[in-house]
Order: sequence, then C-alpha cells, then structure tokens
Amino acid sequence: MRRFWPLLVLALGGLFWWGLQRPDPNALPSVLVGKPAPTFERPLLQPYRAEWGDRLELGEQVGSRPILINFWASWCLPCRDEAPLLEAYWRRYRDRLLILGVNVQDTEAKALEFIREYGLSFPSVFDPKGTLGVDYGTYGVPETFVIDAEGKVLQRHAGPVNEAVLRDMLRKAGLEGL
Amino acid sequence: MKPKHIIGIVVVVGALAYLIFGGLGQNLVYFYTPSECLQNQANCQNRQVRLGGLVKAGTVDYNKDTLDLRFVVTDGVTEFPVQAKGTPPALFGENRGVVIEGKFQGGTFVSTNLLVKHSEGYQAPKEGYTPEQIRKLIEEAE
Amino acid sequence: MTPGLLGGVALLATLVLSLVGLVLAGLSWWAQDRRYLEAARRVAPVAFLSALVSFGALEWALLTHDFSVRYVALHHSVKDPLWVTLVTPWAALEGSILLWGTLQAMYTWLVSRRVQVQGSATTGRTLLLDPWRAPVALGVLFATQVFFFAVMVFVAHPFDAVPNPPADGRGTNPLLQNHWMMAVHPVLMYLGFVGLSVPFAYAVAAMVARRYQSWIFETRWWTLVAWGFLTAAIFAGKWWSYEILGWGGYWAWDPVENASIIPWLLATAFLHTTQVQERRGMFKPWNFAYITLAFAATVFGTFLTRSGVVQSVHAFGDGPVGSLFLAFLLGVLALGLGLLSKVSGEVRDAGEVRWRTREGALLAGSLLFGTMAFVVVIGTVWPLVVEALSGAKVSIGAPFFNQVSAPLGVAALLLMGVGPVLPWRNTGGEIRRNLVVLGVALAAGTAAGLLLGLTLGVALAVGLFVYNLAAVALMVGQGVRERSRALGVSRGRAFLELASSSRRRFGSHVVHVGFALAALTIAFSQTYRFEESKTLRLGESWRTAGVEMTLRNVGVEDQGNRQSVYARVEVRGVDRRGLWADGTYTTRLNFYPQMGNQGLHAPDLKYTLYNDYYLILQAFDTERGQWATLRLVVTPLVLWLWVAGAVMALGTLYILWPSPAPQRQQAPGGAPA
Repeated sequence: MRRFWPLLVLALGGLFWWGLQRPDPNALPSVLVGKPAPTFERPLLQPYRAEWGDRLELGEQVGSRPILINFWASWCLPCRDEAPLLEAYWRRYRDRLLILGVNVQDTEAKALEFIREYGLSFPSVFDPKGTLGVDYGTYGVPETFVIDAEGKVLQRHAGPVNEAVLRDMLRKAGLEGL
Repeated sequence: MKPKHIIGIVVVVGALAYLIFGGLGQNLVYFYTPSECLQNQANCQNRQVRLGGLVKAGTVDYNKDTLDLRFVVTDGVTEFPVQAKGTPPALFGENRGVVIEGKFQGGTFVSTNLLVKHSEGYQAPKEGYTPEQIRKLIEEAE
Repeated sequence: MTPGLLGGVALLATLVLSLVGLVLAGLSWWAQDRRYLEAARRVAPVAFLSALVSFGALEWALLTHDFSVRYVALHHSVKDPLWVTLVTPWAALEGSILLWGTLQAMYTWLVSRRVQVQGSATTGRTLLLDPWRAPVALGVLFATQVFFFAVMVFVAHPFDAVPNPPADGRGTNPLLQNHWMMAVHPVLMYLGFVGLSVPFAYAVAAMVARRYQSWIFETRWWTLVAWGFLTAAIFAGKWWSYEILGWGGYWAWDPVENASIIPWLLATAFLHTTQVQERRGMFKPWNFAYITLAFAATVFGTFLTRSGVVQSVHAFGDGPVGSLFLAFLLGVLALGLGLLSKVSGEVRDAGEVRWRTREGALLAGSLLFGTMAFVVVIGTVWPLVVEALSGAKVSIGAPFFNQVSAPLGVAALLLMGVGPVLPWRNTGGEIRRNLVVLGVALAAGTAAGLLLGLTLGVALAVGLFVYNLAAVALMVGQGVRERSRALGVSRGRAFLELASSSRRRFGSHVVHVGFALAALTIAFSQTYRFEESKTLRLGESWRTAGVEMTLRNVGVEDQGNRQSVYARVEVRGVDRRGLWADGTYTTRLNFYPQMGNQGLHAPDLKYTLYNDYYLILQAFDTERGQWATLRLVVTPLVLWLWVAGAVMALGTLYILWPSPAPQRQQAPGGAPA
C-alpha cells in the first residue's frame, strides 16, 4: 500500500482529468449531426440589411465556408458571456467562416440594444416566435451549431461556448491553425 | 499473522469484491441511440437499457384516464415505438430530447422511467404556456 | 461605494491576507522563529473579518437588488421573498464558495486562538497548539483558505459585474425557494465540510512534527462538531428531497447525494478509530489515513457536483471550477498520504489487535464504514471508468448501492450493538452472559417480525433494532446498578449522575440508538412503499391503499413570485392501512416565471406514527379545471427517520455540551469513555 498509493491517486486524477476534457456527458447527440442543416429564410435585423440584404437564406450561404449558427436572445445572460467571443472570432476569421446569429423569442428593440451593447457585426436573423429552434431541436438558448461547406451539421453545443469549445468546433469544420 | 487470520481476511475481501464488482456488472445500464440498437440488436434485447433520442412530431398519444403514454423515439434514422405509463414530465414534448429507461418487448420499447433532458440554466422563459395563461384558463372555467 | 466594489475589494483582501498568513506560517516553521508565528496568528482574525465583509457585501447587493452584480442578476429577483433573498448567497456556485471560504476563515481564526506562542507549559484549561506544530496546522488552514479565495478571485467571482444591468433578475432557483429546509441544508453541510479541515490540519502537523498522539485529543471536539453537522445536513437533505422533489422518496443514490454521504462515512470511520488511539495509542496510521480521506472527500463531493464529470439529475451548471477542485483534491491526498507513507515506519502499532475486544470491534466497524465509502465512490465513478475504457455510455442504478450497502449495514448494526459491550484489551468469560442476552434479543426481534408477516429483511431490521436497544439497556443498566450499590443512592439518581458525568458514553448510546432507528425506518420505508396514479374528475372518488380520495377543487392562486395551481382532495381512511389518513389535502404545482411551463411539485403529505400519505399533483386540466391526475404514495415510518436524525444530532450535541463540573474523575460504574 505504501508503494502503490501514489499510483492510485494518479490513476484517479487521470480518470477525472479525462472526464473533464471529454465533451459534456449530458449532451444528447443531436439528431441533426451528419445530416443537412434545415434550411431557412428569415428577415435580418436592421443593422445588417445594408450588407446582407433584407432577408437571409441559409441555402445561399452554404458552399464556400463553414457556418456557425448561434441561437441567442437578449434576456439570456449566458449569451452575454459568449457574445464578445463570437464577435472576436468573427472579426478575426470572417474571410474563412460565417457566423450567423439567430435571435429567438425576443423583441426587436431589445435585440437591437443587445447588438449595440456588444457591437456585434456578424449578421443575425430575427425569429421572434422561435420556430427555428423547433427545426433545430434546441433545448434553449444559447445553442450553437456548426455546418460544413456541404451544408451538413457537424456538431451542436448546448449552452454558452467558450474558447476551447469554439476552437474544437471549428477544427471539426476543417479550419486549422486558429 | 496466523494462517487462520489470513484465510479469514481472504474470505472477507473475496466476498466483498464479489458483492461490489458482481453488483456493478449486473446493474450497469447502457445508453444507446435507436440506430445503435438497430445495428446491434444483441446489446439491446432482453436487458435494461437507456434509449436516447427525440420525440417524433405527431406521434405522442397520451390517455389521461388510463395514464398510457405512447410515442415514437427517433434519432432521425431509426425509430422505435415507446410505451410508457404515467403523466409525461413537464418538459416532455414533440421534437424534444428524451432518455427512456426500459426494455424492448418485441419491437416496442417499454419504459420504466422517462427522463427529459434539460438544463435549467439556459431555458427560454417564454415557451409553452405561461403561468398567466394557466391562471386565465382556469379562471375562465370557474 | 457599491456592494460589488466592496465585495470585490474584500475578497481580494482576504486572498492577500490568507497568503500572508500562509507565508508567515511557512517562515515561522522554516526559521523556527516565534515572531512569525505570532504574526500569522494575528492575521487570522483579520482575514476572517475581511471574508465576513465580502459575504456581507453579497447580502447587501441582494437586499438592495443590485443587478449590476452578475450573481444577483442570475439568482435574484425583486419578487423574491425576504427569507429567500437572505439565503440566496448559497443558492449557486459562486456564493456557495464564498460561504465555504468564509466559514473556513472562521475556523482558521478559532484554531489560531489555540496557538501557544510562549514556550511555557500548557495552562491546563485548554489544549493548546504548541509552537512546533502550530505553524504547520495554521499553514494548512491558510492554504485551504487561499484555495477558496483564489478560486473566487480568478475563476468564480461572486461580484462579477454585468455591464448593462437588467431591471430585474431571473430569481433564485425555484427548487430552493420551495422549501425552507434548503436554507439550512447547505450551511450545515459546509459547517461539516469545513470542520473536517481542522483535524486534517492537526494531523498534517502531527506527522510533520512527529508527535503522533496528542492531536487526537485536541481535535476530538472539532471532529464531533463536523460529524454532527454532516449528520444533520444529510438528514436535512433527505427531508428536503422527500418533501419537495415530488417523487415520494428521500434517497436515490444520485451523485450529488453520494457526494454528501462519502465524507460522512469516512468521518464516522475516523471517529471510531480515534477512540482506540486515544485509549490505547493504537491505529495511528488508520487515523491519519481516515482523516485525509474524509477531508479529501469533502473536496471530492464539490468536484463531482460542480464539474459535470458524472451525470446527475440535479441540474448544476458545469462551471469552470472542476479542474481546480480536482487539483486541490489531489493535493490533499498527496499531502496526507505522502506524509503518512514517509512516517509510517515510526507510527506502526505496537500491540496486536484481538478481534473480540472493544478495539477489535471499533476497527472492524471503521473498516465497514470505510468499505461503504469505497462502494459509494466506486458506484459513482464507475460509469466514468467504463466510458474511459470502452467508450460506452452507462449509468449505475440505485439497485447496486442498495444491494451492496444492505449487507454492510447489517454488519455495522451487529457490531454497533456488541462492540460497546465488549471490554478493552481482553475478553474474559464474564461477558458471555451479555452476549447471550444480545443474541436472544436479536433472535426474538427477528422472529417477532416474521410472525407479524414482515419480509425477512425487515424482520431482521426489527431484530437488529431490538438487539441494539438491548445492548444499550444492558450497558446503562450495569453502570447504574454498580453505582447505586457502591454509593448507596437510588437507581434513578445513579442514572442521572452517570448520564451527566459520562456524557461521551451516554451521548454515543443516544447516537447509536438514533442510527439503529434510522436503519429500521429505512428498511420499512424501502420495502413497504406503495404508489399509484389516477386521473380524477371533480367529485370523483378513488379508493386504494386503505383510503378514499375525492377530488373537490382545482384552482390557482397568485403568490407574487409564483403561480400556484392546487388540487384540493378530501381523504378518508376506509380500513386499517388508511388509519389517521383523514383530512383535506391541498397538493400543488408551482409555476415560476423563470421556469416556463415546468411546474414544481409541492406535494401535500400527512405524517402519522405509522404511514405517510403523500399526495402529488401530476397534471391538471389547463382548459377548464375539471380534472387532475394525482399520485398517492404511502410509505411507513418516514416520520421516524426524521426523529432518528434528530436523535443522532441531539446525542452529538449532548456529548459536546460543555461540562459544568471541571473535575473529570472516574466515578464507580462510570466506565471510562
């Protein structure tokens, strides 16, 4: 026992360390993973109309680069956590990927205030009834999906993303060296 | 130490190990998706498993008088009919994730325990009926 | 000055002060200079005050609805009732750690008052911590404190700001608002957790200073306090789970529950082996190992519940603190076990243990509790092991824990009765008569249970209960008889005198009776639980399990922070099973705005001396209020489980209650505790 306890402690530590690194055990694998992403067409929020047009169709965006779809709402505090991160990634890598926000179950005024507050420059569509959430089978907000260049869903993440999760998602989409 | 003691210790430790590790083996409940169950039927038949997937839209049939709940669980590729007893949990609904613990009986999965996957931390406050709506509905009835 | 600013500054100050304390303690140990020790001792109360200020700042922020503090915005709402607001600091991760850290600072301060700086002999009144061990003990406590406050300052800051504060927050987790017990349970738990840090710090000091004996006496009080709080916390948690979670049970072997029972099991084991070291100087290595594991288990529990590493039905966020708690856990294990393996050559036991003696029974008992802790750990982490090795996702059901803990529990109950009856050192022939009495009690109780038509397991539980009562009666009776004969006083007087002079012995009898009672009620309530559901229309009656229920009314009340849908049910007992069930039950589903359409059950239950009648509103007619689905759960003896918990807590309190008489002489009949 005198000799072996360090091994036991190390084994235990290793096991838990591994447990911490693995993806969320509570996450149900999305039924969408590996399937074409449900396509949609929704009005864009006002700040993005100049650049992207009045409405955005997902199908038109698929093809050249991976797409990160992020469901958010102004009343959701974790969304406030991830908004600056998403914005930073968008500014750095906007030529290599598209970050697309979906504002759900919100009022337009509050959504615009949120966008102003965090200076969000990636486009967001407006879905006050949250019907896209049903199409994508979301549990709530925030939730993030990554779609590859062929329009297939590669991964879903429920809850706020942090930098590690975001990198991991983008690596899956074939973006190396971020 | 006397041999008698050593034998005693070996017996006790052996019994404990049997109790613990035998018990672990018997009480493991595996988690599968419907597709995994279809591909590897031997894993899912005749034993308690947890089946995870989505409730297929338009398949929920709940009889409040007999408390029979039937629906189809799907992972988008494979689907199985599910039979459960009891009131569905509040977060249960079409296109929502469920985990059902139970056994296959023929082609039907008979549930003993229905879990709705959710995390209270990031839930939309506006989905479904609001308390005000409930209140109105009941007051109108009175 | 805003609460957020004050709290943040106080938090940082506490971290710095704890670090200073740690460094000073380290210097005094390194340089063997008592001036550093004196300084470290003086830092402790300042650090405690500073921690208290930051805790107060959080309360201040909550009471003034300062939603610019993220914690307040996330876990508080202007609609929350006052008592909920006051307990909100421990409703979520950051605040819980703040509470934990503050309590730790308090205990460090209390220990620092025991530090003896002058090298003179002890003053006799209190057990002082000598200058050789004090730096180490204080250092360990300060280091623990540094850990908690560093976690808060760097990772889980309770005073994080929200740049654009909302007008109202989301409100406290409704599960916690639903029952006042949730206000108490976490505090008790943390008092227990933190309490174990003191014996651990003393143990480390003992190993470093190579004084292996005295720490056991000095921490006796701390260990018992910690154990008492843990016991109370576990029963409080069971009670909460029973009354609120709406499934009619009190224990489900969920990882969160397991996390609370593991430290308790190890502390129980420790408590029993310390008796032997105190009395005979044996089992020193066991004590060092047990206290290390018990303290590590308190950290392990938090790691489990906060890291999301294992699945749990309790929805805790998987915060970023997981890896930090893991590192701290490994640090504690490495420190305690590392020191132990270094000194194990010196602390080896002199004598050999005979099994049929008091010390043998104590060792066996502690081994049983240690094994139970091991079983719970294994069962909790096994899904992770399987996933690591095979990739398969699995869960371990409650049956595993029940199967394994039942035989261990029976063995513990057997030992609990016979152990205190056995003499120390050597067993002579004179106790044979006692053993026969105990055996007869066990057999008679079990036989009576079987004759009453109970299942074998429950009958055995009855037998074990009778057997334990007999053991206590035997010991008390013997002491009283001897004393009344020797001093010529009446038996009643002898009993009272004995009870007040040997508190420890009597208190432990009380705790043991409470434990036996708890085991009995668990056996009954697990075996004879009945449950059934049915949908009733207004005016419709349902007859089952000896009661007739008639649905009278379905309605809703606005209670400010929630909408409460209720079903009023008239219940009438129709046969013996429904005895005392009569009454009007109002069972509720409470809807909180932050939980959408997910209602929380507020079951109505009636405790009686035998059965509990527990009525849950499962579903209701949202359109016209014409029907409701009800679930009836009838469980025997649950009331007595709460009584057992109270008995155990009171027994502990009895031992701890300061003795009025300063002299602690051995009176005839009062066997040394």
